[in-house]
Formats: sequence, structure tokens, C-alpha cells
Amino acid sequence: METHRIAGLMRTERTAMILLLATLVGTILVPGVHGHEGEASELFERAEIVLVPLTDKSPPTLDGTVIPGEYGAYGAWNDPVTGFAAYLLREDESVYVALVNPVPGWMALGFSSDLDEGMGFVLVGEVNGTFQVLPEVAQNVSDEMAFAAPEPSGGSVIEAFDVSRQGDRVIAEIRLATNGSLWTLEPGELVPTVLAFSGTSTAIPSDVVGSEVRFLRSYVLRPQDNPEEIEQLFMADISPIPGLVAVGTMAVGVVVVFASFIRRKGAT
Amino acid sequence: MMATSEATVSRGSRFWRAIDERLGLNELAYKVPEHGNTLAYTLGGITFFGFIVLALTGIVLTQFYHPHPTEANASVRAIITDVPLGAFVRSVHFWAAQAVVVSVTLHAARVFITAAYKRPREVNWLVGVALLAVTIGFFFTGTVLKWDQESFEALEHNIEISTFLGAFGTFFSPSFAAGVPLLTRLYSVHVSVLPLLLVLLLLAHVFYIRHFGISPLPMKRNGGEPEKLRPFSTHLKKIVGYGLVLLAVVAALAVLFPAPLGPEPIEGIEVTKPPWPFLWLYTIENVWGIQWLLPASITPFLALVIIPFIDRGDERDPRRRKAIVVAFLVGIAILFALMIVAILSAPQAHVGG
Repeated sequence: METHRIAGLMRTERTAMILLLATLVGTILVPGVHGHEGEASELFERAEIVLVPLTDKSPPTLDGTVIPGEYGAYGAWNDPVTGFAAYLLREDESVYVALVNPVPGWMALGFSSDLDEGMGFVLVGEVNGTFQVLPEVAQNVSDEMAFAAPEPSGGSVIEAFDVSRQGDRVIAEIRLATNGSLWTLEPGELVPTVLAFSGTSTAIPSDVVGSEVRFLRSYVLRPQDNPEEIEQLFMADISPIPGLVAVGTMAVGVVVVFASFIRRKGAT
Repeated sequence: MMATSEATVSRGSRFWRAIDERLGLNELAYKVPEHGNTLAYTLGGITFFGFIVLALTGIVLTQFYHPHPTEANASVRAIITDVPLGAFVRSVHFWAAQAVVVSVTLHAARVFITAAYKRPREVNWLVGVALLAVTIGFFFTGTVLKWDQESFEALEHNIEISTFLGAFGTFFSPSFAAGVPLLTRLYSVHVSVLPLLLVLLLLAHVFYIRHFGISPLPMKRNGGEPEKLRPFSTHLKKIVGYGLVLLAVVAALAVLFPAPLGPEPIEGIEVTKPPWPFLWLYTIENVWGIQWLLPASITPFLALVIIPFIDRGDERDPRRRKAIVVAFLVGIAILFALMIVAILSAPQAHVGG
């Protein structure tokens, strides 16, 4: 009789555990069903932030040369491994971009207003021996994404550009529209951004496989934003440790409290 | 030698009798069941100990804190850099706050699993739920006071939610007292309104525990022999002992992981996630929108309030209250799952979006 009772209790506990696990997994999956979370957004979750400040002087000259001070102090991003550099600056409805590849190779810059819709790109590479800047889109953002031609009806976001080669270096200066068919860059928001570049091929690529891919977030400054303050704000790393310690302690505590009474021997 | 020792004991005994005659300490020797001295049954006392630590460190912090938006962040920074032991005191306050939220939640879980909310203790359960709400209120207002981006965005949410409350939300809106910043008024809530509520509710809570006694174990001990009784002073010593362990852990965490502080907030952007007790709400906000924050916040408290009125039988053994225990655990599993989703998700903008 006692054996049956204990076996019954164990069955109940097992069923309860399965139910709890199903609840936990189910609840985690629910937001995924709504499409708010996925692999693409995770790529950008803790990505470095690049500022896109407003120009306070005349905009850069699109001549394929980046001179000191042309893009200001706050919109620069440098890759410490490869030496690749990007400079960003906004004026009214345009974003000025300079991409500098220290070795001969194609370059790509992408922004996404909605990762579920993919990402819009501008690709800098050779077509028939001449450097071109072309609009492309990538449906699934990852480090293996493929490029495709955008909808022809959308209109281009590329307003002007110039590409030059200085020794091994490839320098592209491009003026992009903040709002267009590929993206909408809203000031005051963090925009998922991708920089991809190759050190082996200058031809316009069909995908990023085998190239360098960097996942970043761009913050387009508003007129009232102080770049120094914004930079400080994003650099301030609020530690996740207190939350993890507290949530972990509470999770363990709940399990211990419940288990201690459910497993306690004794009659009712 | 023997005579000297007896004389010493006698002197000591006389001393304590003299003290007791004047302070009535003997009243603390009333009997409580032995199980009241286990860790699970001292969680409420440990929480109380945590509140004492918070009060003491909070009194120190109020001497240097300036509750105005233009000064608040700088004054907290000054506490860290200029006040002797200021960084440590602030970090102890911060970690004690985390510990109190954890211990009060575990205390509520223990009360639930042992069905200590059942007749005749329903009112004390409701007082406990109110104490839980006050604790969360302390945590929220404390988060806002440091006045960095996390604080600012928390306050923005507070203001947004108050609009859904209509006339009842007026107090939480900046227009309630023109000229006095909402931060200043939340500071007053943190250091005067909530402490007053806490003391009143604690008095009621302790009164009912004294009146009804420590709740019994949910199942009889093996063999059914009567449980031993111990003086309440032993229970008190246990609480102080566990409390000192808690203080040691909190102090160690304060040294190892000082309380975070971001720079001055930037108005109009939303780039942070809320502190961990509100993380589960962040997922709800991400998926269903900010308008669901208010009903989502109220729902767990409503669920806790109705528990004694739907689980009314005499049975206290959790193994024989399967339906409500599983429902409770499912609720907790959902909260943890929502927290995990929030931790894994990227920051999103909600207010004004």
C-alpha cells in the first residue's frame, strides 16, 4: 500500500516537472512566435555602438580622400584587427559615409530598420574593372548572408559617391539618404548595422562568406544630443551581475523551499 | 573557587533580573514550535533584518543625496568618490535591496507552500501581500533616485503608466505639483511614505503572528509525537544569526561588485532594460506594448490576494493540494521564462514609440 502511495507521488512529481518545463519553454517561445526575437537581433544585442553625429560645419567632400577632421571626432569606427575604418556623419536628410579598406577588397555597409524585413546594403566593388557603389539587400542577416538586388521600384538611397585607390587602400565616400527604400534611419534610435569587407577580392560579391563581417549598432544623433554625453552613456556598462545573482538565488531558493516541503517525510 | 564562581553567577543572575524587571525581556521567552527556527521559517525575520540594514545605510545616504534632476546623479557620484566609505555604504544598500526582494519572495513562497494563509491567518496573508508591494515600491523608487539612464527610463514608464490610471494616476504625473520635480516627490515617497507604510504593515504582521502563533508544519511529524517548543528568544537569536550571515554576504558582494551608476540620463532615448524584478514586465512590454504593463503588474498581486479565498479547505500538505501548488509553480515558471526572454532580448524603445 505504502509502495503504491510513494509510486503515485513520484508520478505526480514527474508530471508536475514536465508541466513546469513545458510552461518555461512555451513561454520563452511565445515572443519568438511574434517575431520579436530571433538569431538576427541577438547578433546586435551587445554590439558596439557607432555614433552618427550631426555635422556642425560644411559636409565632407566626396573625392575619395579622407582628410583629418573631415568627418569629426565622434563618428569614426576602426577595426583593431584589420585596420578597416568607417566614418559617419549626418547633415539634414543625408548620411555621409567613408569606408577605408587598408587592402584591396570590396566593402559593404548595411543598415536595418526592421531585422525581420532584412537589411539594406551599399556595396563597394569592381564591376568590369571600375569601382561601383550598388544597392543590395540581404533577407537573413548573418555572417553567411547572401545579397540580392532590391526592388526596382524602391528608388535608390545612394545620392552620390566617389571611390579611389591609394596604393593598396580602397577609399569610398558615399552620400546616402536617411530615408529610402532600403532603410529609415530615425535620429535617437539604435539601428542594427553591418560592415563587411574582403581582403582578397575586389569584385562585387554575391554573399559575405569568407569575408570579414562586423555587427554594430548605429546611433543617429538628434540636434539636441551632445556627442560626448551620448558616447559616455553608451560606454557606461551596467553590470548584469546583480540581476544574475539575484535571479539565480531566487530560482534556487524557490526550488529548495518547495522541494523541502514536498519531499518532507511525514503523515498528514 | 566554587564559592567565587557561584558568587559571579549570582551577580550575573541578579544583574539580568534587574534588567528584566525594567525592560520586560522575559516576555520574549514565550514558547514557539521548534520548526520556527528552521531557515524556511526565518525568511520573514531575515527580510526584516535586511530592512534594518537598508534603513541604516539609507540614513547615511540621505545626508549626501540631492533629490533634484540637475543634482541627483552628481550627488550620487560624489557619495562614491568624496564621502568616506560612501561607495561601500551605497553598495551595501544596493545589495541589501536585492537581498530583501529575494528573501521576501522566498518567504511568500514558503507561506504559500505550507498553506499558512489558511484560516485564521487570511488577513495576515493580505498584510504580507501589501508588504511585498511596499518592498517592490521601495525597489522601484530607489532605482529612480540614482538618476542615470536606467532611472530616467523607469520614471518615463511610471509617467506613461500613470496616464492609463486616469485621475488615480495624477499623483505620479509631473503636473501634480508644478515646480516640484517628480524625482523629488518620489524621493519623499522613498524616505517617508513607504517607510511609514512599512512600519504600520510590519506592526500588523507581527501582531498577527504573535496572536495566531507561528503557522504549523503542513504535515505531522513521523510517529505523530508532539513537537518540542523553544523560547522565542532562541528564534530571535536564529534570525539575528541568519541576518548577520546575510549582512556578510551583502558586504562581500558590495566589495566585489559595487553598485552600478551610469552617467546623467539623456532625454528622449530608450536604450536600457529595467532592473531584474521588473524584467518579466519588459518582455510583456516588448511583445504586447506598454499599455499592458499596468494590468500585467497588478495580476500577480490579485492572484496572491485571492489565494486564501479559493483554497479554503483544511488540507495544508502541498502533496495533497496539487492543483493550486502546480498553478502557483506554473505562475512562477512563467515569470522566470519572461525574465529569461528579457535577458536575451535586445533593448527596445516603448515610451512615446
